[in-house]
Amino acid sequence: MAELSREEVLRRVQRGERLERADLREIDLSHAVLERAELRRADLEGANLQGARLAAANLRNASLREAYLVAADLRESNLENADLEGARLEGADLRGANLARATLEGANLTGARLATAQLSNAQLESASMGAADLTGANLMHADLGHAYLGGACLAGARLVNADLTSANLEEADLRDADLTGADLTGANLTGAKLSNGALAAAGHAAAGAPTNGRRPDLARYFGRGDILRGASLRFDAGCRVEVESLFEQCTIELGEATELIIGTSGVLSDCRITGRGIVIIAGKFYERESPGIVGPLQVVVSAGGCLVGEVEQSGEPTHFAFEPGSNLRVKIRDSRANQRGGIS
Amino acid sequence: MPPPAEPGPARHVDRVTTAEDRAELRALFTELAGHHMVQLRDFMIEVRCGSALAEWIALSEPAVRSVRGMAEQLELDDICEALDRLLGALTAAHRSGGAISQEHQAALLAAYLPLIDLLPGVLELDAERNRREPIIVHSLLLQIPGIEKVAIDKLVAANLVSVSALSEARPEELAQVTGLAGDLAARVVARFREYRQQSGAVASADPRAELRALTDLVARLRQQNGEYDSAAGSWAPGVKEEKRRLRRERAATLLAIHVSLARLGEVDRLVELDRLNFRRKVEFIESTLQAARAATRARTGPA
Repeated sequence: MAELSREEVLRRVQRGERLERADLREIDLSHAVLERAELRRADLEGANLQGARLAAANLRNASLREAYLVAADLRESNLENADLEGARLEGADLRGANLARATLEGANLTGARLATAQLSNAQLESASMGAADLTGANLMHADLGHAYLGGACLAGARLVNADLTSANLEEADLRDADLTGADLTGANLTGAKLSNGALAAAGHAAAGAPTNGRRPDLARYFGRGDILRGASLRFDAGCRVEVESLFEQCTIELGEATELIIGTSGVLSDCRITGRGIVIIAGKFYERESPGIVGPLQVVVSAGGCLVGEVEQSGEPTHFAFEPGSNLRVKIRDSRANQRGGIS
Repeated sequence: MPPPAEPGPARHVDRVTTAEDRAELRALFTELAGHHMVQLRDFMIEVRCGSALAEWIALSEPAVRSVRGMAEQLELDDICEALDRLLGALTAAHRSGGAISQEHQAALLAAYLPLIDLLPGVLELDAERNRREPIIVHSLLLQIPGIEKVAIDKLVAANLVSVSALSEARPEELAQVTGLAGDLAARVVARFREYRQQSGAVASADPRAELRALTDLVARLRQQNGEYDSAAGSWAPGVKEEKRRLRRERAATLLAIHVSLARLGEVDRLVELDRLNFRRKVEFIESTLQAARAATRARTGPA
């Protein structure tokens, strides 16, 4: 238990006294005014700091394991190297806070405001960050493995070399985020906003790509040099998706007439494409298991393009176009008539 | 089960001299009756949800008889008459067996609703249900793999936030209305149907059984938390994966505890529980259990 009472802590903070290394475990400081408090290396494990005003407080190296910081004001606070494992930070205001090298493993940051926060090398493994605002945050080398980032705003965030393996980024906003070198193996990017080259290591942008009369805001571009493994992607009707990256063991669901273009550098290996979309292959497609492409509206393989797999027609028949010079090892199956044809 | 009391008029013997005395007596009676009939209220919440079984009546009926006896002694004729009507409806529904039919539901509610006015405060149905149901629905949703904030927000936006709505929905319609993936919508419906079949809607038909289940859950939480703390202090290879697994299991147990406490009507304690770390959560739930056991014993006698 804490060595100081709530009243004593408030008195000392008011007098500007330092509380470095203070034992404040499980103390109730909910809604306390602790702005600019000096709490470096303090032990606040399990403390109740709900709604506390901790703006610009120094909490460097402090222990806040399983602390309750819901709706706390931590703007511009220094939490560098702090231990926040399992902490509750729903709706907390951490704008501009320094969380570099902080441990936030399993922490709950749902709806937290983290715009421009410093989170480089932070441990965010299995953290819940649904609908969090991480606009412009620095997450370089951060460990976000198995983290939940559904609906989070990561626009303009720096995710260089971040570990996002098995992270859930459903409906997250990744526009203008820098994902150079980020590991997205097994990540869920369903419905994520990825336009403007979020995954483009070389700074490719969707804006320059032809839109073919489609809405530019529904364009998706996966740039050269990026690798996506084990992901499930769904693109709504009307999208235009261009892939110059390497996708491995991915499942891609296309909405009605969604255009998927595998560019000349694009490789889809051990993948599956489903849905009534238009598949244009200038790069390479290798199926994982037959049929690799299910129910497309149109399949076009251009000169130099390579398609190895089975295409299953379902419902309406598929329109095929194979340009001279394309490399094909294709089986075409009509599920309604159970007929097969082969092209080698 | 003993045979139902024969409904009949209360004796009209005025043993109280002033109106003030009678008012005080009635207030005291209301408090006592409310305390006794908590189980009846929970049963009636399930009746209103259409989730009640006739066999649960046996758990509430003795309290109603006991309160009826007190009302008769205190010459509270209007309450005696209302309780007689309720006992009649309970007996008829009990005899029919199985899931309570719509006809018996209507008869039970018609007999019960006047009591809310006669004994104000504790027998109200909707307010209590509204306190419990959001916690239960949220906790059940988070138990479903793949359901997290984005999916929950979609369900809330479509106003699909009740046990009945989610258990009665058709998966394909749920997917269409909310935008959830088809397989996810199917898992939601399956989970809520399973829950409703096993546990009713928002109240415990048998609080003793619920308390036994809660005892098991808190023991499990204590063990899981101990294992997590051990793993957290370890530098062994693979500890990260081990912690992830233990964290997930601990969270699942806590969600089950949330459902159980909400079903027991301990919503205020859930708010308090939320602010505690896991070590103190275990202690807090254990003390809550002790208090709940004592309250149940006081209402229904020793197990």
